[in-house]
Amino acid sequence: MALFNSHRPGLNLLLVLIVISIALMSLDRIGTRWVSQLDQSMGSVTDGIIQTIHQPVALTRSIGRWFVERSELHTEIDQLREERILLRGQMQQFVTLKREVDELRELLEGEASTVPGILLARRTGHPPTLDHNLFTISRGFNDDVRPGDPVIDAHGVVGQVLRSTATGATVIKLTSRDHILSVILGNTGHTTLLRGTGTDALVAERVPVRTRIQAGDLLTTSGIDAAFPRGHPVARVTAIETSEAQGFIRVIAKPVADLDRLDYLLVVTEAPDAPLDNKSQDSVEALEWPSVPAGTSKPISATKTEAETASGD
Amino acid sequence: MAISWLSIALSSLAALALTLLPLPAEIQVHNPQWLLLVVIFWSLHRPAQAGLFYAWIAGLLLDVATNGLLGLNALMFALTAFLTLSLRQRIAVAPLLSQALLVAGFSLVYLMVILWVEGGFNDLVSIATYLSRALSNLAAWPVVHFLLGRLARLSER
Repeated sequence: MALFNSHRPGLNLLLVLIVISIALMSLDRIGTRWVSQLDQSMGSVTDGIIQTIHQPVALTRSIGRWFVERSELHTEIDQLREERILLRGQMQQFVTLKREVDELRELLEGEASTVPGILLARRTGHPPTLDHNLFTISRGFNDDVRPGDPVIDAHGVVGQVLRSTATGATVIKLTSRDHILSVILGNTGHTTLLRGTGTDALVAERVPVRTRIQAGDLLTTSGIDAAFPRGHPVARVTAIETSEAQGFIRVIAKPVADLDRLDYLLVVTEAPDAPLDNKSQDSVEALEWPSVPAGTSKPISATKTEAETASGD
Repeated sequence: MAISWLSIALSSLAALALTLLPLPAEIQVHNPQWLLLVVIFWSLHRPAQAGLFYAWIAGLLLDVATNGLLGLNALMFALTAFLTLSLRQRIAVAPLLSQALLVAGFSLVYLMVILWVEGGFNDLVSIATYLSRALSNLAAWPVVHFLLGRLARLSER
């Protein structure tokens, strides 16, 4: 061992590395494209590592499946079947209603409403952060998952895609201190910004006192922020506090999504950039819905058929 | 030589995987900084191969893995490696306990800078958790020293 060679590190190299790091930090803050590309390409490696070390967990879960009673399985299958038929039935109405709405909007010369594509994804792990507000999912940019895409579960909004790599994507929960989204307060029509606090509570500051809102009201996405489509349930009001500023109240809400037990999630991807006519045909195929007249419904591009549009309101 | 490169790369990847291990939040904050310890070890024992640039790349990987500010950990890793390399002839012959104390001291400075950049410096709770992390680094150094020491001797042959 070369203990007696000094191997003094070069000061020049250190200075160069310091300068590069600081440049990287500032470019990352600004959000330059090639820095995010670097992040993405290296992220493919690290996301792969996260997925690999999460394999034992997945393995124990699949081993656990061997020991489930047969009758239990059958009852579960029956339940799921019933639920599926119910949802399909509601879907029928939904498709017809949507067509009607689009026709009415056409008469008013408004835009037709678009139902974005929905992608089923699985939670694969979480990178270590102090407040546990990130997790990775199994779909990456190969499946058209882009940074900023909304992520929902069966109950409501979960968060947004932060980074998407070849092996998966990282999602930030809406309870994170770095997350903020625009919501409609109950059925008042008022919009406000809902901020994560790092805990289980979401906070909307500076809501005018005269807003008629009470505990138990549902907050839904407003669609103004252009990140989330309008109408997804976000949180339920748990408390209303008087703010220090006079004339305002502070609304505390709890997410409706089951954030502690996330397993399967839905990523709301943007509608593919295809001409409108193709879209409608695709959608009918995807829905396996021959009775629906083509021409109105939008792509519910169910890649794995499980796409259920999370109930609008 | 090739084996020694391989052992450095593999042990760093293993340390990164250990850092990324899914743990409950209460344990997560006490998880030692395995990658930093491995980088310090290799700068002490393989300075010709594991230099500043290696430390910088390792830090950048950690940044990417944890979705942090890109380059922050890279900078701190490079600085730590620089410090270690400069004091190498003193640290490498020191007894294990004082080595561990020095390593914990380095990591404490490192953590305080990270805390300062993240803006939690006024938060007493997060200072306490970062302190406990430095302590777990202290406890983890003998483990790293022993395991990687064996690996280093193996790869030397």
